[in-house]
Amino acid sequence: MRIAIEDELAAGRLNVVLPEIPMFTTPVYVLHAFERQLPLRARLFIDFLVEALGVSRLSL
Amino acid sequence: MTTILERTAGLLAFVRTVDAGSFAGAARSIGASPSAVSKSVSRLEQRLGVRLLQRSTRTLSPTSEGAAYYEHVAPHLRAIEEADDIVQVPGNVRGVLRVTVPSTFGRPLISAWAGSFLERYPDIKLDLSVTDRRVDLIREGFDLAVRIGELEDTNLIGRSLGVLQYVLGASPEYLQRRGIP
Repeated sequence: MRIAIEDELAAGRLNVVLPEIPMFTTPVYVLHAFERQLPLRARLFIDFLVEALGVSRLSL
Repeated sequence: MTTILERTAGLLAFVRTVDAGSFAGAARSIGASPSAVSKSVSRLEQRLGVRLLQRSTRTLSPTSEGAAYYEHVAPHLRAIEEADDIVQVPGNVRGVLRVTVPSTFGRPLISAWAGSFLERYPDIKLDLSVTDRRVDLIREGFDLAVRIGELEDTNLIGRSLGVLQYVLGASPEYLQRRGIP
């Protein structure tokens, strides 16, 4: 997956091949068992993950 | 004579042990050792004069007294924990966050993201586990689990983080030798 090779792509050790061919995508979830409301620290971390995934060059 | 603090520790240990189904899972969620949790529950049982857990079976489960006690005590403990959160704002947010992620996330998380997150919220302590093993979030005492792929039937709550795309990669040397497809 692209996210796993982000460093290599940035450093030029790997290139993306056949970028015009759409590769399959897979969804990502974060799971929890907090019933009523997520504790603030969990909410902030999830927001942070969403933001980080968006900024690193992934297709979302 | 047990102090109120010692009593509360026992209640927490017991409730978390029932939630997780094991001392190890409870210990992880509390940040104590499994033996400390086990001793805490034993002291509670001694104080009450009642067996709360069945230790003879392979998985730990409550006795009927333990189940009744749990039903009474657990909601209050949960309410107290939620009360901690009511007074927190991003400026003062604190506490331990136990997260498990697959290895695909492990590297970018550790090398880049976690640092920025912890810088932004310096009083949050991140307990991060990186594994491709299928983790049982509740039994192993985690707060959050990142999962890649479609969700199976689960009684957990899932929030979408987006989508990952597979790409084909090749080294520059390989492309030079074999040509660009």
